[in-house]
Amino acid sequence: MSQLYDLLDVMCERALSADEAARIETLVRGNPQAMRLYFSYLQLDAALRFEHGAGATTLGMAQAQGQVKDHGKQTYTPTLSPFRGRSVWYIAAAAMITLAFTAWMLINIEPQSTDQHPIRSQPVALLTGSAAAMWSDPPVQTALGSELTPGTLKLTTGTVQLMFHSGAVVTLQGPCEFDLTSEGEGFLRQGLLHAYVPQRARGFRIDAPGGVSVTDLGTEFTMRVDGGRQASVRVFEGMVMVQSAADSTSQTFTAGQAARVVAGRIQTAAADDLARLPRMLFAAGIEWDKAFDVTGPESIDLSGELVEAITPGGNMPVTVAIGDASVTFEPGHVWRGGAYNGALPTERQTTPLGQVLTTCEIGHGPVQPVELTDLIVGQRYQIQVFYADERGDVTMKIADAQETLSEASEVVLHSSGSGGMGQSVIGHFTATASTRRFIVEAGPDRRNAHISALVLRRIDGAMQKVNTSVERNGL
Amino acid sequence: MNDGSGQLDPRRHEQFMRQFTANQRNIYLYIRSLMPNLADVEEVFQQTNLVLWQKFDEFDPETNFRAWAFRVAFYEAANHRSRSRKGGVRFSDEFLAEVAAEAERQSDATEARLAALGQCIDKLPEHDRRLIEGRYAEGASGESIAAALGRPTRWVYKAVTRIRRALLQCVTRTLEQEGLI
Repeated sequence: MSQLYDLLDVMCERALSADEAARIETLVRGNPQAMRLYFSYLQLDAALRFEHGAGATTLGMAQAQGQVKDHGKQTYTPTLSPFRGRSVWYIAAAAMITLAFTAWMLINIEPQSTDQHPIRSQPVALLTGSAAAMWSDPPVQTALGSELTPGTLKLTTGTVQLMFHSGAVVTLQGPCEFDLTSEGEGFLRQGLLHAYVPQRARGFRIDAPGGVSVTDLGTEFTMRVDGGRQASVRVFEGMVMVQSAADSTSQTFTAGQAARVVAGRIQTAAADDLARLPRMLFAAGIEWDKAFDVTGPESIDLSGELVEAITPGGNMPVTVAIGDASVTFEPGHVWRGGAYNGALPTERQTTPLGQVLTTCEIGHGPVQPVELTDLIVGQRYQIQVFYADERGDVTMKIADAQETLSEASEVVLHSSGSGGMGQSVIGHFTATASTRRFIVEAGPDRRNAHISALVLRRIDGAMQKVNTSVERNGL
Repeated sequence: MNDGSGQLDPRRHEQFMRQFTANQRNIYLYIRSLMPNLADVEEVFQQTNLVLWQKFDEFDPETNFRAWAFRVAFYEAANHRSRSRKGGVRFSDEFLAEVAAEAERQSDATEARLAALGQCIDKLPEHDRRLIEGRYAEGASGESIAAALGRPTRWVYKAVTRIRRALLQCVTRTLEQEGLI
């Protein structure tokens, strides 16, 4: 049995090898006692996986029975967009949940407070993310990791992420008024909300004024209430059921579909509605380290696996050699960027990992976005930016794009550095979407923004804090 | 958008949806016992759910939903095995048939087992409980937990193994005490 236990522990942690699978079969087949152990151990593993996703603390809280109301007249269209195998949404969701959970764990690993005040109301959710959030009356606990009890949240501006105890993760974008009702329910009075509902929290429900209910049947949707009257919902993955008490109707909507409820009637949403229901992923910012002087090839960080290296300067000799496993800049030439001639970098076509394209939109103007595309959602990346300019010491600011829902994080690079070879900075981020933007901004003494080189590398996902340690370096 | 096709009996749909959501966990647990690789479990689980919805009008509400869902899941697991590339790790058909038979035998005890598991988790020392919940959070790995705790990965694996085995013993003991096994 001890051998079987060991193999089952392996099976709980990683994919089995063919040999290990064969050994399990040999041990289990024809042995009822071993079969019982096999089945009960895997059942336990699966139950933990199913129930404890996202750090829930109680078993069986996510049962969805009883959350579906009876209505007389109903119309349904039970179509589902086919899932694409182990699809990207799943990984994206996992990444998002991991962020939320990590915040929970890092906070809870601290010694517990010995607060003697009686708890009047059971907490139903946890505040797991906050970006530029401004709250209006009544004030709420706004520290990351605060337990939230039922009540109304009034967010004036900014974005917050809540993790319900059922496991559902909700992002609110201000201005927004939202009632926390229970661990599996909320009420959107006004504003925009994004919900990711893991499988164990299916049946999670958001109500809206006018007797509107949106019940999630897995997995991701955005919902909006305007002027306290019109509610609209857009499904990104899985399926939701929209119910209108006024009209006693309900309809299911699947991935790619959107609905709105006007005066109690459920309708298919118009194109205008779609634009107003964006997919909001709460992204942790790029965590930039301190800028450092470039001294030579040793300044290039070779952690992980190269995805792409480019020099945005279109009319200069290529100073980047791209190999499958490493990147080599010509010694001493790392700072050679050169003037931008308006063309996209030619390296874009020649990168060995052609499926990952980097558009380095460095053009004329003081603020330029750089967009990394075709990222693997859930993957942890390292980005290294080089900047040098032979015309003297001018600064360039690298910052998170304004549209991300994260704390601003920025770093300033000096073009000459102490050795005259410019400066470099390394940042890390976990992809929460297939694209990631950051902003390059010219210093006060420059009209055009540019960088000299950019190296993107895939690294193993070490757990990270969410917006708790944004460092402002080099300012 | 909703194409309006297939006007279906709303009452049946309602029943189906209740059963579907109530049995998600059972279906997942069942599939887990059939697949050697977790990534395959997720795939087969999603595919099974999709097929259940597609075939929902074939389901006879007078029959046992769970048994029907298990049949669909077994078929989808077999399908997945035949689709997966050569060299992929798989269990033999004979083994899967034995596991499916065991699942059927244990089917009625599942709820009691899960209830016992809940009690056993509550009995764990605080740090063990946090650790096991952390390890099983979606997207977490031994490495990520180790990094968050500042411990070696090996330590995390050993601790998780110890806690998991203790939980199984506790569940078995609880069921024995209740005379369920």
